[in-house]
Amino acid sequence: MNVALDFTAILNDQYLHYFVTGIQNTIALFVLTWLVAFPLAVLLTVIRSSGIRPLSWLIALYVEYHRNVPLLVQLLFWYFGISSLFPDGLNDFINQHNTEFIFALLALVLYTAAYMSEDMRSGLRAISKTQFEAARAMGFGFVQTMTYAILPQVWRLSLPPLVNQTLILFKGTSLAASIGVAELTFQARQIESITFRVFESFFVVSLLYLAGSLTLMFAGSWLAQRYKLRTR
Amino acid sequence: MMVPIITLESVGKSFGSFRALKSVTGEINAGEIVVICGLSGSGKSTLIRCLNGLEAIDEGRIVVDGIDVAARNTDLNQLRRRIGFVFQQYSLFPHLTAIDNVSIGLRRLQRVPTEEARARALVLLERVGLAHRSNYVPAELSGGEQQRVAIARALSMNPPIILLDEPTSALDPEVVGDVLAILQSLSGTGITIVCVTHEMGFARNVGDWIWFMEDGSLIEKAPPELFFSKPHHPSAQRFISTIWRSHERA
Amino acid sequence: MLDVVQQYWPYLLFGSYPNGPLGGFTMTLVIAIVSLVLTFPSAVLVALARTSEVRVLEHAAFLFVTIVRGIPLLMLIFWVYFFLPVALGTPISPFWSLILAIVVFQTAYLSEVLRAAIEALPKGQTEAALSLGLSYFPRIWKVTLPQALYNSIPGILNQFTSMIKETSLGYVLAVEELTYAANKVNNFILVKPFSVFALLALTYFAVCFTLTQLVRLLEARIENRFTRVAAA
Repeated sequence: MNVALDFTAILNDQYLHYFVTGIQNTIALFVLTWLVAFPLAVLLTVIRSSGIRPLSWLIALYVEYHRNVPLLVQLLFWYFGISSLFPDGLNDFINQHNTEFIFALLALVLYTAAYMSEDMRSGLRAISKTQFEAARAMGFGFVQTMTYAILPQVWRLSLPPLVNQTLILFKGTSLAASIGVAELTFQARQIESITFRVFESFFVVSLLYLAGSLTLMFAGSWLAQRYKLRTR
Repeated sequence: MMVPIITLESVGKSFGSFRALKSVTGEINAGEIVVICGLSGSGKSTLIRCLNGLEAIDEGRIVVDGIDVAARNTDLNQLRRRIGFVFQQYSLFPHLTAIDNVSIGLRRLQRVPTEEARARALVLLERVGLAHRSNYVPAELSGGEQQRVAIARALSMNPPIILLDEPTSALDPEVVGDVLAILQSLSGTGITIVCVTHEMGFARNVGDWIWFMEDGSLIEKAPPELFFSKPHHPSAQRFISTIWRSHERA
Repeated sequence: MLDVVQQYWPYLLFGSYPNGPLGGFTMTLVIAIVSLVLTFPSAVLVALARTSEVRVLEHAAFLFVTIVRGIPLLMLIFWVYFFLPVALGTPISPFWSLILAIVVFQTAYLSEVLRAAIEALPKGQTEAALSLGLSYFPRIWKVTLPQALYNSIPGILNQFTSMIKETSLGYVLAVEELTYAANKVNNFILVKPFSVFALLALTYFAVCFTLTQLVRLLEARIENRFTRVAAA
């Protein structure tokens, strides 16, 4: 390697806004996806445990689809495939509002919710039936039982896999680059193709990802310790 | 005037082809203490679980506090708030402290404000001797302590009836006495107690009636003095002699 | 969708072969299998380093795994494809860039699977080997690895399934695997994006779902074998 490293070439005012845009979009995708996917996963878990067969089966299908199809393909399917079925009015609306971002969000939400609901489902299975009985025997209805007795336990039991899934989501936002969302990975390529500073631009972006990942890992393990469900 | 608060008419229940309950009939008056005993598999747990609808009956009728438990339009949740239930395995909510376990019914079902609910829960915990452990979670409590909290929880909404399904069977012998003492302290307060148990000493000293079950049938109902001295049914006789023998050995 | 299959199945399955380079689903399999073959030994080495009790090795391996798991695969692909040629002075084909990136990425993940399996072995195994006078390498080769690897078969298959899904990122580098091929077909037909991408998703689903079911079957069998041995 005979090219001297020059970080100032990319970390100056001219190109800084690329990084800022990248960070903004990555975080926006990450946070918005999480805020929608998590409640959706809770809903799916509650519905699945209600015992209504056809619904459980549908949800199982939903989960298996999103676990077995690559995330990139899911993105492309939404962006190219399903969008072609939308009525013109909807497409116009989406086009006025940052098309790529919306489809990326859609794909990421459904993908993440599928995995999260599986994590919660295994947490649910670890809870003994007598817990349900104790709540029902007190007079709690089904929804109340889930809300006050069961879900608080599911949350604590599923915390480790949920933390892991959050990490996967954070890195998964990078695939939005493939449909043109200006998140970090996309911007890394942008900066590199303009300045030809391959190492510097990739290094900074990688560092940013690492910072995010490590923060999530530490926060996650702190949460898991704090909310650990202790059983004798 | 004795008023029946629980009535069973020809109650039958099957699990698949297995007949767990066969035409059980009986009455329990308000304020009475009824002990249900029998060998394992006699259907006593099934019977008590039918009283609050945890198990659905296939034949007959159960009327609790004026409400037909199995009727289609019965609001089972409403009924259950008037029945306290204590499980063999305590079944406290592991994510809640003792005081939260006891107050959750008050807070979430009766919409009692948190401060008041916790105060009332504390009183109940004092009654079972565990006020000093109110901020501990079940994992930090011994089996006996958990069961006492469970009893406090069952009493939290002032139910007229409390059902106990083998409350001491999972406990170490040393602490069985503590739990039974609490139940004994409830007698005379007007609360109706139905308890499935093997503790015949308790049955003898505290019970008003003993219901003896075998193979899904309720074959003998008698006050303790009569039951232990002059049992009618040969199975009951055998049961009692086995109990006394094991008592003497212990 | 059926007509798309009828007309384009050779291209989607084999690419331009025999009139050109291999492509399509076959290429997907080739990439995945080559990646697995290359990942396996390196994952074993990293797992052994993690469990070696040699401080330097443990820390180096930990650093490697943490860093690789902290950045997205797409970023890693960019590193290999855009930076490595600059560093090494020779160009690297998209095909090998993809494989190398997947290998590095999966080495980190697979090494964790193997490490878990090694650590899950009963301590008695190591003690027995030590008391027989076996030194490190013979012990690892004859006692630890055979058992750990056998127990990891479901985990290895899981990672292989992930690799198949990861080959879809060849789309970004214009590698002629299934996703890229489907995209080319779509660009050719233009009017049936839904059919093309639905077909794409379905193909991955069929393959990966079959593999995950196979894993489930194997997990049950392997667990039984372990308990049978323990019982005897």
